[in-house]
Amino acid sequence: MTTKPIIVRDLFFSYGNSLILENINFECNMGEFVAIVGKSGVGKSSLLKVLAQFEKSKGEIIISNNIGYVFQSYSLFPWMTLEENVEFALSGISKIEKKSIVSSILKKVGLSDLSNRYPTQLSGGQAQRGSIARAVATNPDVLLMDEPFAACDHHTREKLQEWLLDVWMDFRMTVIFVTHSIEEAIYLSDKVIVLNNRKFEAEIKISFPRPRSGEIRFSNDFQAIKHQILERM
Amino acid sequence: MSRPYSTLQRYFQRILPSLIFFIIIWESLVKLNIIDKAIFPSLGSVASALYLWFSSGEMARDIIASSWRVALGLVIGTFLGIAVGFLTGRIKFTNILLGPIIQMIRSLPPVAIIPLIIIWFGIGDTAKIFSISFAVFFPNWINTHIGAENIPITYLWCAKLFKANKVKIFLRVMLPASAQHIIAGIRTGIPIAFIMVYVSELAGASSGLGYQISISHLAYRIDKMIAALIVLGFLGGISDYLITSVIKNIFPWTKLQDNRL
Repeated sequence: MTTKPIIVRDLFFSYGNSLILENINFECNMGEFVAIVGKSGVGKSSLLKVLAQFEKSKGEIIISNNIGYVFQSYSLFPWMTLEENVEFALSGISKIEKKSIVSSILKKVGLSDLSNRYPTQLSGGQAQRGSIARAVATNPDVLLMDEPFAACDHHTREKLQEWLLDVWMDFRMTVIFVTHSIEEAIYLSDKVIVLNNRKFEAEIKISFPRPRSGEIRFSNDFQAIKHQILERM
Repeated sequence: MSRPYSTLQRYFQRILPSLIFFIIIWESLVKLNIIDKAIFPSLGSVASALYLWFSSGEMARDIIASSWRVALGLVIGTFLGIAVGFLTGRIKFTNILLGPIIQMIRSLPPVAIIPLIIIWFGIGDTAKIFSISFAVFFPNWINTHIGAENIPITYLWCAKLFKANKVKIFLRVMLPASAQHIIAGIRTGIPIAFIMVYVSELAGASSGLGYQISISHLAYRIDKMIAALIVLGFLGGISDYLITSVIKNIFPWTKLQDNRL
């Protein structure tokens, strides 16, 4: 593994005849938390799909082949229990090893008691935590997250943000986090990439020390960064 | 092992209110002379015909003959329908090749091909099983085709990310993701199988429920005809119930999605 788990150079992506992403260039460092923001339809989610190689694109993408992906719609398999969902991610190891990894991950994400439940029996927040547990089960180098908390209410969203930072500190993988919320992006990340009109617009460093407290949201520095991002969107 | 017994018991408990309601209506219509007894006999006459048919040993022979034709026809038609449904639902080339022709044949009434089947296979069991499989194939094919075509892409992306091989993706993702449609296809196929066994036995047989209805018709034994129809309907109902129970045990999550009011 190089020190740059993601390098994107001259990336173009089209859907039929419509150009979705144009000349995107950026790099991420090992263990970095990167947020991607931009208006609706600017190509944020498409960028993640291209990075995960779900969609074909033009240009150069250098990325680890051990990727985790969290979808906005959870995408836990409804026919598997939570435990079976996490176990599905693991292959090439014995059943006993699988059981032990699954149980330790579910414990880490606080869902041990719900391991035998089906996704339809979980709340939105629990399902999204389960989805993240499945994504990190293979201990990925890169975790791609597509607006994972968009469907949650404000209170659940803040709790999940705290929880996600704990998980990230534990696993220390590089995270690319797509969000509509500028505040969420600033609070969680080390840098924010702004997309505008299909193009890379700006990269803004966030230097608040970690662990972060919710109070930084009310600081002048936080508000100044927020204005800076809004101006570039 | 009281499971099959309790499943049957639950089935009888479920159908009992509707059965009692039906019997009351039937008896009232006959007793009040609203319908002519000569063309619609009383429940007592039908029950007596049922008893005589049962005690002669012919009922068991007819049920076994029809049931195994239905079972074999259902298994073959269902399996082929599901297999081809996946091929046309997931693979563009197969859909281009097979989809239009299957759609054309699907619009034919399955009973219309019985004369042709008799020419090809005679009037033996092969012809009956073929015609049942043929008719059952289409609802299974179209339902599986739609289910396979509409598997959410995110499920397949997940499987790809987790480096699942093709067999694992088919068995653990594609098959369960299409299960609701497949179940609908199987359930639609069951009454069609009973229609086809009845029609094909009418066309020539020496045993079976269709044969029994046919000879009772020739003898103008309306009580016996209704008795055979009751047994045929009962077998259809219980088959659907048993197959649904088995499916719900294989796919337990389908029990969780009952949104009925």
